[in-house]
Amino acid sequence: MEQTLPWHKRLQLWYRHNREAIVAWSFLTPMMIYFVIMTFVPLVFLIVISFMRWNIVNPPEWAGLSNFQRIFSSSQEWFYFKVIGRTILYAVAILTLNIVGGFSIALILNQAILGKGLFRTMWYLPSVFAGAVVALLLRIYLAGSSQGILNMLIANFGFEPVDWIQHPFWMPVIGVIFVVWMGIGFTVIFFLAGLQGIDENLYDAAKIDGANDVQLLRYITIPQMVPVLLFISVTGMIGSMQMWEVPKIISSGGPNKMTYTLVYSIQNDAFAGLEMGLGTAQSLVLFLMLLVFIGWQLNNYRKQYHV
Amino acid sequence: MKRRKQIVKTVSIIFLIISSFCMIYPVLFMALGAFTTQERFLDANILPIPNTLNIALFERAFGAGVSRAYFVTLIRALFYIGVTLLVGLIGGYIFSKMRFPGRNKAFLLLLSGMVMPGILMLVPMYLLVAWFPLAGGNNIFGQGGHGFVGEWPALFIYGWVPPFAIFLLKQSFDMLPTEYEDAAKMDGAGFFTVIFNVYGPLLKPPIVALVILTFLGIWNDYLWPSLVISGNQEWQPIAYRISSVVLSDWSPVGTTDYPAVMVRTFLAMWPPAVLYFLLQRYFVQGMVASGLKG
Repeated sequence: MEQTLPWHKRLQLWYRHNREAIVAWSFLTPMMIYFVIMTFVPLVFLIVISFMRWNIVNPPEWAGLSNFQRIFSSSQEWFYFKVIGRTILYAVAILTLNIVGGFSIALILNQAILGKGLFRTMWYLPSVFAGAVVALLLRIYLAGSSQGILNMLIANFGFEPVDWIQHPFWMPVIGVIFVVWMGIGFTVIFFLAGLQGIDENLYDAAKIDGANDVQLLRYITIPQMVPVLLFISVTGMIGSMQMWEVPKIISSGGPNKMTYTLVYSIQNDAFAGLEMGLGTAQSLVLFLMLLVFIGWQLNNYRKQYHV
Repeated sequence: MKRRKQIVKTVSIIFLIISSFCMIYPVLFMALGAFTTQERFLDANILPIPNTLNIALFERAFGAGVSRAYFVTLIRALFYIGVTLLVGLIGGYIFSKMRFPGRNKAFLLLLSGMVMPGILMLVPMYLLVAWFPLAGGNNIFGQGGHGFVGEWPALFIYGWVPPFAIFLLKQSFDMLPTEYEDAAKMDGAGFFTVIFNVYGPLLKPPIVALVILTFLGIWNDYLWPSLVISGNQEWQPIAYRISSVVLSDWSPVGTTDYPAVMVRTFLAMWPPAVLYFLLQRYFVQGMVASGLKG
């Protein structure tokens, strides 16, 4: 019958049948176009430039794999290997402290404690500030002379002034503490949300069966927290692999390159050294490492839960 | 048994008090230091004890372009809050309540944006801005000029379709029954009325969470402005402006006018703290609403 109708009637019918899809896509199309331009076009740039030799000023030249060869070569005493290894080491240390610390605090805060809202606020507070500004503040605290604030404070307790920023032990430790300190509030809030979402009946049932506190934690709380753990470990890994405030603002990668992380190296090579190809090649390496980590985590999760 | 519980609780509280104090100590030190004289500051034992308002120092900081930076950052924050809520609500509604071909694929594509670390996109995003066609002396192919580098649009050009906001609001829409919408549609409500007037008021926690997150993201943005706008003092946002002002008159050797430095960092840090204190109840609720099971 439809063939006999005039075209505008048919259009009307078609519109009525597909109304929802038409409305949805008329809003989604501009959104998706913008999103693809702003996300995937830069990704393509990133990949293409990583095969180029380019200092911004002169036109880029094709360089094949040479940027990657430089990263994965033994030249300069395995310089880039060390940068990557160091970044992973920092990320693992930060993530471990973040998860263990955040989970413990969330467990404590999950009890009926007077003023727990205030404590929660205090733990989250550092996360609301700009990393760059706090890092700057820290750099001023850590100044090495006896006029430095931290040195002034420890002098009250009879300690000698320390050159914190040039100290081969303290600077990396401070770097890790700084990143954990900035991010742990986020972890605490998510673990708390997860803990409050656990079904009380599970605990009651286990208690009737005679489970003690440790068993409750081991067999109910932790398994129930796996989804939150997955979320925290993925976002935390993405975050801690990108540690840049410490080397960029506090230590300039020192002492002795001990805080020279991958993101700092990317910025250094791309914008200070004007080797865009080398910088983007490192970005690509970092991105692939993150993808492998995320894939590995999701895969573990799937295996455990058979989803 | 009871006794043991009591002990555990007491130890927990003592641990919490000490650890929470350590968490806020560096910030507290700065905030109190902003209201002390230099002599009093240098005498500090654990914390400096405020004894002055340091009005001259605040005036000096505002004279050094901080008021302009406040204005720039506020405009930017309002713009991004508006865009995030508009796009987030429409996108969240479409992905949650509407059924149409291509829905899951489009949603997955959006979510893939969440694993893309923004920091790695700095170089290519910079190029995108520098090669923007027909801007800043560029020709239609984006060559020949400097594009938007050093100009205000560079601060407003990215992030109009925020995957996290769409995801969070989709999860929140999922939890609301469709009956509201059906009833409103009976009364002749259209697309926008349904989203903003019917569902909008019911989505207060995730909306407030997004307002806070967006505000914090913009207020604390440092790397992107340092790349694209560093040469243009008129349009430097607060985090970047403060950092460069502090760095310009501080040196690691010699005596520092500590209260002046603290006043400046204080000016960069009080707004996020106040906003968080005021709205934190909604913030936690909104984050919980993101549905960690999903």
